[in-house]
Amino acid sequence: MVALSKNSSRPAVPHVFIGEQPSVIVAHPMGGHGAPLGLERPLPLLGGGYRLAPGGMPSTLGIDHVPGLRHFIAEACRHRALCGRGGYHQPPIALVGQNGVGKGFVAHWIARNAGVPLFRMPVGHDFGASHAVHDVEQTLPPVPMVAMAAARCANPVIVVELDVDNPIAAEVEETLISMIDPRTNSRWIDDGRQTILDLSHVSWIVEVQGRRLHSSGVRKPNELRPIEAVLPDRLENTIRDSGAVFRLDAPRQLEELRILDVAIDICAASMVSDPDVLASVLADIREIDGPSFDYVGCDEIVRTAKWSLSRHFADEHLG
Amino acid sequence: MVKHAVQVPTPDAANDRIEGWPPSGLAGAVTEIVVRLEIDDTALRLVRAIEYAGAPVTEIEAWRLECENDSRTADSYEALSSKQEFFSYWSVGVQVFGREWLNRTTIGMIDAFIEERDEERERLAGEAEKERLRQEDARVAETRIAAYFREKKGNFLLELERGSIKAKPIWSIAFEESWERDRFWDWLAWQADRFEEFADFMRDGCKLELERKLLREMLVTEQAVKKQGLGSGGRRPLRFWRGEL
Repeated sequence: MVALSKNSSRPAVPHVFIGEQPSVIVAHPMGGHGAPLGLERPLPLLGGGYRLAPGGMPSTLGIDHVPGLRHFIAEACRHRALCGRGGYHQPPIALVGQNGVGKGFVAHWIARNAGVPLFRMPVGHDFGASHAVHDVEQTLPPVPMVAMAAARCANPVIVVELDVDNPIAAEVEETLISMIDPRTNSRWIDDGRQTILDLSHVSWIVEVQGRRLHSSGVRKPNELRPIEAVLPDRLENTIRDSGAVFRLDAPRQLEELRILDVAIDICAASMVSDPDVLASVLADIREIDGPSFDYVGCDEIVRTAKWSLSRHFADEHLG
Repeated sequence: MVKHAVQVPTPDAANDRIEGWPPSGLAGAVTEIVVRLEIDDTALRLVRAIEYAGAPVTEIEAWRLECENDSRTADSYEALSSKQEFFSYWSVGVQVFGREWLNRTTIGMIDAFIEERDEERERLAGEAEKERLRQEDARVAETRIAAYFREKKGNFLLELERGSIKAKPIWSIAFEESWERDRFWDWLAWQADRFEEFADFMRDGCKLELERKLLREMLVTEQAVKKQGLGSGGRRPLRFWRGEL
């Protein structure tokens, strides 16, 4: 913030006040009432600072198995640093892939390394629809508003969960686009609370879940057939225009790197950097009985890594 | 000073996999994330770098391999530079497990590469030697003088020709009877190592002179052989002669 001194005999010298964290007001009431959930007060923009430097988030290990992601993150950090805004923000991205391929892991990695909270927003066909027949029935605030109020943060990562098993309606897609599109989302109107909400600081991640065969690759009679993950057209165009679409898979040639990345990230999250511990975690992950021709689900890798770490901590405690 | 480097984006084919990023307005000057294998005067280096517009913004030397001599360094570089699909994995693994981990991982690859390359070189050298011998044989076949029996207009010819059968004869002699040619051949067959000498003679001399000379030598030989009691008599006195004198 800069304040110019007025009515001074000396030439105007700007007084610069540096706050601890940059902050913004994200809710602007349209009527005479105040903003809901205490959002009339400024919310801090978290993350940023040293994390945006090339040696910070762009160099942190854990995402090399996802083609192009580090490049995207580095560009996002560079843009954020260049435009002089505090706090982490990235253009919207879509992570499209079968279940178990590691979309959730990527979102967690981004949020953890950016230093911002992550919220999940499951989206079904009735997302945002109001079934109220009387004025007495109220709708809950939209997830981004609740998320920002709950975390006291103007720039959380919000993961929009789409599933091919549960296709969304055109109105739902429209609502999502209005939230995600950077051309419009700084003035998003919440009709229920008559509030203009600034969603432009949110880092949007759209996860599109496909469906793959669970076990051996041979479909059982009662098992649903696999479905390729597909992003709805208009939403895809919106994200492509301003951000990026990542089609994730788990190719064999990157499997070792994928396992290593997950193990590194789980250990880093537990503040473990001992190579021997990491090696034992990796060894436990490699013992997972995966399907012979398919990939091991990322959730299982994460679960095994955590179990392996907890066993290590237990041994250490007993020792 | 870096002599040479192999560079891959991390991970491979990154730009093909991101759709719509970076925006076209920023094309030409974007951040590049690379893993590079470099060779300099003393060692091999695996470098992770973030570059902007071609200049490194941050660079980490993930791994360094110093070999006992320059040739081993060059061999190691040659061996590993073809394994670009592992660069990202190595550059991540070495940062958490330490340099010894990658030393252990790569030493087998380097040794196998050197062994394979030496075998390949030996194989190629063997093939080159075979090809050289084949060409040598072909050259000899093209230049060697051989004798051919032919019949022409009722005459029995014996011709000396160089190389292929279609070549123009160096020298030829005609007989009216086949046994006459056989009698001459009984002697000439043992003069094969002198064919070049006959060819030299034909450069200046004429056909008849050589004919005279050879027939005279044949008769002299026949007389000498007969005198020794080794002649077989009849029309072909040198029938059982085997070149000894």
